[in-house]
Amino acid sequence: MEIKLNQKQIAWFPNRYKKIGIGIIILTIISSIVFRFLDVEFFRTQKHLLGIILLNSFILGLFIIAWSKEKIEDEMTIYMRLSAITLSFTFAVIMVIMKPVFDTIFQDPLENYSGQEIIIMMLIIFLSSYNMMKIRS
Amino acid sequence: MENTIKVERAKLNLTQQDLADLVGVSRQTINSIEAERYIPSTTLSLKISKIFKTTVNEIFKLDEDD
Repeated sequence: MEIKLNQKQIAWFPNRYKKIGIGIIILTIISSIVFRFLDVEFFRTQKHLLGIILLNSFILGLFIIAWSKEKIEDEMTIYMRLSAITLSFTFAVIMVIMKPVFDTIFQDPLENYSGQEIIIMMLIIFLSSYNMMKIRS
Repeated sequence: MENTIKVERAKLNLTQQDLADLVGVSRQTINSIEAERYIPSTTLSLKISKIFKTTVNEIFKLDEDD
């Protein structure tokens, strides 16, 4: 059996999409600040919906950055991406398992992470570990 | 895994960037291979050996830890 990975399977978007991802994140952060301080009836009544939209936009921005190609995409970038995915996945599993323990230690109510929290955590760990590997290479 | 890429590169008066361009990878990848932080694939090893007109075994050697 032959397992062959190519760049298209690991990074889907062209390099210029990184800027789009960063733009979405900046826009999301600015919007969340505006929504918080603007005293508009709609923002107050639709707080929950806006929260979901902003969080999903933040995830979309991180996702686009994470899955945008490098200027030169080669086998080492694939290797670094796979290592970063492994690290982020392992970290997320440990965090989910340890959450009840942390809640007990800090006397917080026992709660599970939401799907969005886990995805954000994984994307942030992925991006930071991948960029650390890139700097060290 | 030890390698003699730096020596072979010096013989041909090639920079890391030159070699990277010839085999179609980034300069960082060549740098990592030379520093033994990254072990290249068979395909890349063969491409590198082809540039230096030698065999893969002449460039890459297993060390005690491998």
